[in-house]
Amino acid sequence: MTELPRGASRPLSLWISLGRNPMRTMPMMLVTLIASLGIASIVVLADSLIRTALAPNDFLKDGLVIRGDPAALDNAEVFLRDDPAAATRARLGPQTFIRGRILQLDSYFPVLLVPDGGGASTLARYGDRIDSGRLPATGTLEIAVPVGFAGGRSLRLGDIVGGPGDYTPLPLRIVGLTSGPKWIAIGSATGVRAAGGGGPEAILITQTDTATRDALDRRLRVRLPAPAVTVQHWTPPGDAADAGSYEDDLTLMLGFIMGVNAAVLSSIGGLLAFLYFRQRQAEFILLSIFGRTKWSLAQRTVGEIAVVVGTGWLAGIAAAILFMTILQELVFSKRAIIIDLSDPAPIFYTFPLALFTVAVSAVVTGIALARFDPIARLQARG
Amino acid sequence: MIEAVGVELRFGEHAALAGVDTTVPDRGLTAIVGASGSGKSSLMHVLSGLRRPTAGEVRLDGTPLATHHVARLRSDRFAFAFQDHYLLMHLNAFENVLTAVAKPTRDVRERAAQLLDRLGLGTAASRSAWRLSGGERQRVAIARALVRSSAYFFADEPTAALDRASVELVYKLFREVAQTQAIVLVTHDPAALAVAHQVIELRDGVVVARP
Repeated sequence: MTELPRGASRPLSLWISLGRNPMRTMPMMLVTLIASLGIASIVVLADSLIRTALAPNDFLKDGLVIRGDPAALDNAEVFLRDDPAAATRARLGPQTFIRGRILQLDSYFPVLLVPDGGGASTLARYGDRIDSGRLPATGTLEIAVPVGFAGGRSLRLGDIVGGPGDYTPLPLRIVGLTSGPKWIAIGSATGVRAAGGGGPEAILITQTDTATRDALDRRLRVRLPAPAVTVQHWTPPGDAADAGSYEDDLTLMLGFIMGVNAAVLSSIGGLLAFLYFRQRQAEFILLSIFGRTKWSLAQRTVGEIAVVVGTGWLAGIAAAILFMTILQELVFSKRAIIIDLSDPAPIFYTFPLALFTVAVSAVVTGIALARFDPIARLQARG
Repeated sequence: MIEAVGVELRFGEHAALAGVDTTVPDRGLTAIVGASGSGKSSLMHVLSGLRRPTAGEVRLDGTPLATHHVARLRSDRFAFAFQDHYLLMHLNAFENVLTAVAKPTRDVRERAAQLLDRLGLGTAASRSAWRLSGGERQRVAIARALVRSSAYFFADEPTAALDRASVELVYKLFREVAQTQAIVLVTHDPAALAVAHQVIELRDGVVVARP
């Protein structure tokens, strides 16, 4: 058996062409990477700002609130105790709002007052957990707050919030930091009630299942008739409309940014595709002589461009995640801004961009190939 | 067998070929000779289907060439080598030879290695194309054309960039190949006439001498 020289068994494979011609593929890959990085970063940041703005009250969306005087609420508690749909509930009182600092703005941040022994189940119900420290002890003025909230005010375990300059006069000691999808702070209902005296209160019942929540709502309205208590969904239709409008504005803004980027990127992509084509004319002449049709040449070229753009796009997304992770560590975590790196929005916004670039490149390549006469080139070159 | 019957090829007012009648047998080496601009390359292009004649007809095995699927002919029955080597610079010599075959088998790879060896490129087979000299690149292009064992091999001045020793190697290989295949060689080289089985001489697009 003849000893064969070193070399790829399929020298015309797309991967060899791409891998061995980095200078030819790099410009298009870099342009896609930078565009994807830029847009993905903007989208992540914009989405993060919305999430951060909504964070202090986001946990309330899944809840029903029962308002009334303390005696009526105590009666309601007796009824709720046996209803599994109301298993996770907490008391809210005026003295249990603390000052938060979200996006550099002061805001009310509620502390859920959980019944004795109910801290762990309340956290679990929201998908949260204790990140460091522990749950507040029963009957004390201890609280657990979200890591993001603590970051916004530069608070640490052992620090005391409340008192002068805050929204509650009660000195609440931070004993735990929570993390998870919802920002909630919890404290001991008996501890706060013992220290804080009377005042209007409310019961917050968390129930994420809409049908179960609606059924509970109907039961409560029958069992706890007005005016002794009132029952309401925490997020009224008006709030939802506002939120929707807010999101629409943001979507419009992102759409505009994406549109401008798409126009710029596709123009550059088209130009690069043309240069890419020009650089490879000798190869196309050769392949034509070997019997390759223009259609197969177009498939090959567009396939390569798709791989180049796809790689640039993926690298851009990865770079955006890395960039945002660094920014989160260095800047955002200190300002209580939530960066959600698992947010799929950057992919939704940048994928059409990559697709559009490939489409424009395909059109440019198609036009260039349609005008390409390999035999005329051959005769011109000799 | 390829036949040209009353073939004309015009580029505007200029007639590159003016009523050429000739045949290329399915074995042996046919040399097309003539002065620059006499229509040598044009005749090769027409005979191989790279160009359609303006008038007249080219037949392959008795069937008009125009009725054949040209791309399939180029991939299955015709092979080419030109003065410009058209090597892919990101590949080495051996890989460049393999580009002629879509899916190179072990046999093809062995044949590629043998051809390179026969053309004096055994030690240069793994060398990048951009590191080869002009003459070496030309010989790689010839090996690439021959690796498929096509029925007809069209070569347009393939030895123009070669030294005398390399030309001898090429002609020796051509002589062997011509035992089983047809070679159509466009050349200025008088030495080619010694290995040719037939010679077509052109002057101003007209055949002036043939066997």
